[in-house]
Amino acid sequence: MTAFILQRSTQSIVVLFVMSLIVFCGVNLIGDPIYMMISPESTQAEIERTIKEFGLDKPVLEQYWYFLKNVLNGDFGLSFVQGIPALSLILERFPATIELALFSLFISLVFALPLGIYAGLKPDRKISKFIMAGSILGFSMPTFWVGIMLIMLFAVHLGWLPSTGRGELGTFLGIESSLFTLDGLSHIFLPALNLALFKLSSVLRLTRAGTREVALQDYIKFARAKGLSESRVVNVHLLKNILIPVVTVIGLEFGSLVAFSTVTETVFAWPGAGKLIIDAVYNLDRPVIVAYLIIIVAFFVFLNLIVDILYSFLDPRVRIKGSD
Amino acid sequence: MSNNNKHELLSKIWSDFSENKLAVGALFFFIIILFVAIFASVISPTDPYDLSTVTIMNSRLAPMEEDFSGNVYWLGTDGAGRDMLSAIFYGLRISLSVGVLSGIFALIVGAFFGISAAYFGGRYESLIMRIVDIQLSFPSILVALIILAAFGKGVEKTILALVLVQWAYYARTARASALVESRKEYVDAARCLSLGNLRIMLSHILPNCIPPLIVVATLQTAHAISLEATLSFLGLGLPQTEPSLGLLIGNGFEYVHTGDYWISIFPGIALLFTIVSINLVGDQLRDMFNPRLKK
Amino acid sequence: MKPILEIKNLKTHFFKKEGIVKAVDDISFHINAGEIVGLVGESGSGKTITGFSIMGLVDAPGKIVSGNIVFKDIDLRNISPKQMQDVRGNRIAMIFQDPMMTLNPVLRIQTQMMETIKAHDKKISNQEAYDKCRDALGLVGISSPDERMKAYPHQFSGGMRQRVSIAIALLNKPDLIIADEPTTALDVTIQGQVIFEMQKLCKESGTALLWVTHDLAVVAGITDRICVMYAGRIIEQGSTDKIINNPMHPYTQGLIKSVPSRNKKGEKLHQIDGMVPAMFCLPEGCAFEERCHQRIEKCKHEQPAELKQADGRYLRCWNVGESHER
Repeated sequence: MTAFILQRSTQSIVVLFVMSLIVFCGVNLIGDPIYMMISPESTQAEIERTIKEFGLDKPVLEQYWYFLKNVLNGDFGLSFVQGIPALSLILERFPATIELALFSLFISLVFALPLGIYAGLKPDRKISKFIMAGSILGFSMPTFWVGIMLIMLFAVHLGWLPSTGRGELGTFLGIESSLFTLDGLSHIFLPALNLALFKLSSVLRLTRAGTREVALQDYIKFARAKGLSESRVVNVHLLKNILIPVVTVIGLEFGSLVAFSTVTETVFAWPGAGKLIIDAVYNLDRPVIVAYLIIIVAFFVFLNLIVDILYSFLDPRVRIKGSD
Repeated sequence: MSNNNKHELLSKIWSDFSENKLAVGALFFFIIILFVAIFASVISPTDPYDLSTVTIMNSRLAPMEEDFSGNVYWLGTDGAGRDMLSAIFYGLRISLSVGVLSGIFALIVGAFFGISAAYFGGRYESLIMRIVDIQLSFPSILVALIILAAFGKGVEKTILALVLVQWAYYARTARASALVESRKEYVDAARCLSLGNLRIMLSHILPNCIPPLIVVATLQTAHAISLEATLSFLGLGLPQTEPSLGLLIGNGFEYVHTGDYWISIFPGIALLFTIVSINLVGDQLRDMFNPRLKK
Repeated sequence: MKPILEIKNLKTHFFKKEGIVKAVDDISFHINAGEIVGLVGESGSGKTITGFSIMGLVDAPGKIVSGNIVFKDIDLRNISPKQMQDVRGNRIAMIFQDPMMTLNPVLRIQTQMMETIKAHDKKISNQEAYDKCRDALGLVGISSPDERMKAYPHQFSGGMRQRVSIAIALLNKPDLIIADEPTTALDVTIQGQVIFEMQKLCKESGTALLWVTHDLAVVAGITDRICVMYAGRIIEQGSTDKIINNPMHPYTQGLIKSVPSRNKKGEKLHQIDGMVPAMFCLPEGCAFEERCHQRIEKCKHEQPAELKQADGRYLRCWNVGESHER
């Protein structure tokens, strides 16, 4: 198992390195952000001064080397638009995104897991078919459109919940979060629901598929043949086997939630890192784009690593080497 | 395959498919949507992009409201005075073309890499599949963002981004089924006979990969349409000159808070129905071809 | 002596969209206490479904359509699910065919063994249950049982896994064990051992055994009586000696001739002509008629009734034997 962790870690580092290369090449070589900073009518002298200031005139390889050195020091340069260090800008906004993603994950799991298991155990019941049809609807609806619908219904039409922004922050056990205040909850509810709906459907479908597959296995029938109660068959025999793929899915889904928050944050004007990157791409704010991409790729690589390790830990067939 | 066998196969496929009434309805609906998209210019009541007929005086009319010259706009007009119904028809055409086009390219690229990886094996296969696995571990929107951040906006760049996002799904599926075929003995026999590698891959291995590829193609097309809509909504995908449904929704977003719901809702419903019908069809196809569920 | 299991006119059908598969179509047999009965047939003959029908484990789209299954005065078809649970694993135990898939891969052996005991004895302590399991492992010839209890199924070889299944079957000292091809998936060298052990254990504990298999050679060695199944019906049943040495039904004769060890050196291996009919289109007459060398006109139109013969066996054939209705 240690060999496995080592191998995966090395792989992760390689991926990070390659990604940094891709991000650098992509963002720095294509497109000309110089005209974002100063008007195209500037004098040649001004253009040259700006180029020197941001190091855009050095040979590519040198640029990359400096880039790499800076990245490892945490220096991504100053945002073209806002003038403050890109890294601090992103880190400032990340907690809001994580908060949103976590709450969405919670909502989607609470509904998706039990429904998925039920639909997998009794696939021919009308309710199960209804659930599955509903889940297709769930992941077909583009997130942004659902967000708009939610705003229209709950905020504009009914006026129950606010449609934009993040609420007040409260503190609990040393952590600051808008989940701890009522105002915060009212602000986070709609965007979290929006984000959750999409994931709910895919987790539900995966859980159901996994349940159906496991339920058909011989060892489930054998458990019944031993005279075990149905609840034991489901809660112990079935669940433990489903848990392995489900945990993997949860891990990956969380990552996906963080990525999709870009959309939800834009629709609900939620001040997270997602909205930041969209604005940055729109404005060609290179340092911020680079910083965000590198950080989020690192986040994903790390997340995948954790999930892989968790998976191998949960499945005894991987954890302990077999005899044959 | 003789004609009789083909006929039998097709009827079997249809009878399996039509077990799910919902999927049949979805297929029917999708054909209608396809029809609308192809003949958009013929069946639209107006040409919403003909600047001579569009006037700002008609802007933001509610559905079924009349304008000052007595025209009724069934779904209302948008901020610039364009008829929503026509805009949706044209938008469908653009959304579908981008989605389907990118799907076809992704299919070709993905199938090529997937099948060749399975066939040639070795380090080549490991490399390709490693790239596929890593790419698939990132959410598609992130991959699209990276590509658009690097290459910029525009129609070709959007299609490029969609292709680069999707090829991995096709590659993985193609390789899985090609792997089963490649290990069969007749492939070894064909190799001994020095039949060209390309010929073996095309005429023997490819046909067996087609059913799962069709399933992936259907589901991925829906995914591509949805992704393009999201990107266009965010202002990162198609430019204003190619108003897909996503862009229409994006344009209508600013009017949500003032209650002019129709500018966003109706393109959204059109988008939703398109994606849902494709997904329903793809879902049924997938259940049909899944051997593990046939007990 | 009253039999502990009596099956009368059992029919289990599968309702698929292509048609109805009559997997088990009117079978009747009985098992006496302590007896070893063999249920022999090719794959698809309905023998596994018979076992599942007794246990009440027939999955949709299958259903027991008619017939009686009486176990020690309990009508197994008409009891509540809870009562059936009490019977399973306790009074009637089952051993499945494929030891690789029978044990849950993510649970330890001790968990899977102890739960069998605790499901039927709520008052037993963990330690007592553990001891019983460990002893059972020893009984089936597994060494270092304490270590083995903590292990996971994938750490065992196929033969050992099957022994664990046998141990589980014996845990609650059932009156009847249904063994569905218990040695088919094992290496030939292990097969002999397992067969011997099972026979010994059953004789020692007085447990009745229904040995379901396609392998006539195995059955000939250990059973007291044999039931031969073909296309969902029992076409011949009686004492093992009589049937092996003097098979009456043409199918049984073909089966016996086909056993390779009965061949003389250099002689062509015997085969039964033709193939088992597809289960969706069974003929209206005898299912074996097409392949039979002793068929008469009646065989094509009417399914043979089960008739008792002079030596006590039962036979379904129009042409062979005498006609005494059951």
